Amino acid sequence: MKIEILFGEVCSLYGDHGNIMFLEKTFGKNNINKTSILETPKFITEKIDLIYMGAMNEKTQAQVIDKLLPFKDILLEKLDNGLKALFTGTAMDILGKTIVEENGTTLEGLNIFDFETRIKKRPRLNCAIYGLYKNIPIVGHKTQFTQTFGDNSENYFIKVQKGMGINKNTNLEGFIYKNLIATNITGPLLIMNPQFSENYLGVEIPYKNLLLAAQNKRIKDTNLVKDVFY
Amino acid sequence: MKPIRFYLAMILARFSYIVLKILGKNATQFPGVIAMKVCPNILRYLEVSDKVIAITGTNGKTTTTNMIASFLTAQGIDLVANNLGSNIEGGIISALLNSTTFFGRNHKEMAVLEVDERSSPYIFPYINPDIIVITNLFRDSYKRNADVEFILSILEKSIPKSSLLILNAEDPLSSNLCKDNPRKYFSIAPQEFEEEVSDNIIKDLVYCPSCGNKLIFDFNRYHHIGFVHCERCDYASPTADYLIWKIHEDQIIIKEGNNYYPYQSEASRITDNYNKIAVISVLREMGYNHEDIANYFNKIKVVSSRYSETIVKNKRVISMLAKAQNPVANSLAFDFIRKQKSWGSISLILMNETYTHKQNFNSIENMAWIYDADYEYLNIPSIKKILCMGQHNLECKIRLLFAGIDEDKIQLLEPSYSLDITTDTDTTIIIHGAKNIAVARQFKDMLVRRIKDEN
Repeated sequence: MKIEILFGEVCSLYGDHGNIMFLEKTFGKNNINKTSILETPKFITEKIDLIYMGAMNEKTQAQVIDKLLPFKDILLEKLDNGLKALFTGTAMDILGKTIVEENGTTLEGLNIFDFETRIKKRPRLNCAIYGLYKNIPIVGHKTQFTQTFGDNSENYFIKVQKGMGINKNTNLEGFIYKNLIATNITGPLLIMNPQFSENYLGVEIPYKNLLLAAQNKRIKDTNLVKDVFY
Repeated sequence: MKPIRFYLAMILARFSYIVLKILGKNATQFPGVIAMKVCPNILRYLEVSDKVIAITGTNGKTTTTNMIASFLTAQGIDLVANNLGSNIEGGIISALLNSTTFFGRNHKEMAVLEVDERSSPYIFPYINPDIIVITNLFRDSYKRNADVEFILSILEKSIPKSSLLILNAEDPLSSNLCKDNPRKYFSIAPQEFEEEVSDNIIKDLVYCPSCGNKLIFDFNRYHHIGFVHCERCDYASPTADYLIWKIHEDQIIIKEGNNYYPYQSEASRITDNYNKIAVISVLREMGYNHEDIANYFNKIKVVSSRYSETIVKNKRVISMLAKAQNPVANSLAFDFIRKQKSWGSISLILMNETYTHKQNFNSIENMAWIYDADYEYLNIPSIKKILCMGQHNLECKIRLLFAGIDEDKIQLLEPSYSLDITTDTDTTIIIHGAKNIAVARQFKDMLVRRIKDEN
């Protein structure tokens, strides 16, 4: 599998490097291409099987949207042809219609999904997450200033049992389009969720038993806690 | 005219202070929190000293604050300081309760206050510092600080226009703050013995703050700290007003203008030297001469809660503070360890969670930050054993495996006071967060006793 890490030097704010380490360990460093924000993404012209992008700040979101917007049609075409794409943390926000700041300033997104992300700087939202993706358990964390509003009832990533969905009024988290998964869950999602990683990537993964044990502990702990917001 | 609730807050806060002191508890935070609950804008009514020095930044605040306060106290200045690290609103208010009368009138000559960078908008406008030291800025707790861009934006808005800024010339993030403010820079010149560290996983600044082009490091000390320039525009690290020009084993040479000043120094970690040059910069700006400052430095040692080393029967036992949730602090500790050539075989005990190992376990703590910290630096032959301790010790083990560390070297420890830690290596190092200073000290004392008792 050929993998492209998009803009990892500026899009890995909250431990998202764990996903990159996981992909390097699973597929070998030779199969990982790291593209900087100053470069043109390789998936435009080369055969890439998976693109990954992690969390970024608002300033970088604007740069990333500028960078990807001219290639939106190519991205959609590649997605239709089976490209896998994993967008975690605030990388999800750039795929919606708009990102709206507290003062009303609006940033147009890539408009691949029909949702709006609204920024509110205080209080910051932090919570643990436990939910199910096709009956596969998913654990993780959200740490964000944003809530997202839109209908994801037909294309959500996970149904949350602990924590919040795309906003505090829904338990449906993230968006899916074919093999594109976009979620506000941050950090080492692929390490924390070994069954999901195997299912999504279609390969055997390293340290599987240890990762499963750690995930089971997380599930147990998260279920024991009354309030997962912190 | 102060509102009634201000006086009620003063009564309750001062009463709680007395009770805490009678009980032998720390009163550095709670009285301020009580006062804030009763009178949310109490800072508006508490008079501050004529001279206020504030210290903020990601790493080094507490040590820098303690050193400044300690020097000034030694000069006979009657000052108030929050030198136990209570640096958010509650801690600042608690400190100011000690410097004001019941009616909120100040009775101290000076205030030296460590201010949490995240809390600066709720503190700086009220205390209006004459001098603000910004030690450095890095990503820190995801939960509180989000990312450095966010912290920069709140500092930019909250720093009063008149404050003199003392800035780290090697930090291209904080050195560009509030460009209209008066400013002085400190720095450490690259040393002949020094190796660059450019392999950190994270760099919080990669591109030129002026034009967005890739920054070129002329010398990369760690993470984004170092001397940079941009090849597209004229951006470059500013020239330092106060420079550690040379670091010798027991001495540092300070360069100010064209003059050189020797200081005795036992510090071995580069971060200690950054704290030191920041302190010297502040004191020089306050008018103290190098001789007096140097005399003071000759007498002090780094606070032992941050780094403590005991050698017994040729074995070394060390406790090192590296804040949990702070990948840079941990990476610096790991880098320091990997560079030691005389420590022989090493055992490491990692206590890298924010809760105390005595109580209040946080079972859902976000441990993602460990993937921003350079655990790869621990993958060296001299490290024979790594003990992961705490609620999330399995996640710590997984991180170590991804760092390439042999599984046979890794052991899991549950939090406990009857630890089965053997001392068969030459050096044992406990790396702990701020909440576990007391626990780490107990472990260290226990290890020292065991070594003494060995035949």
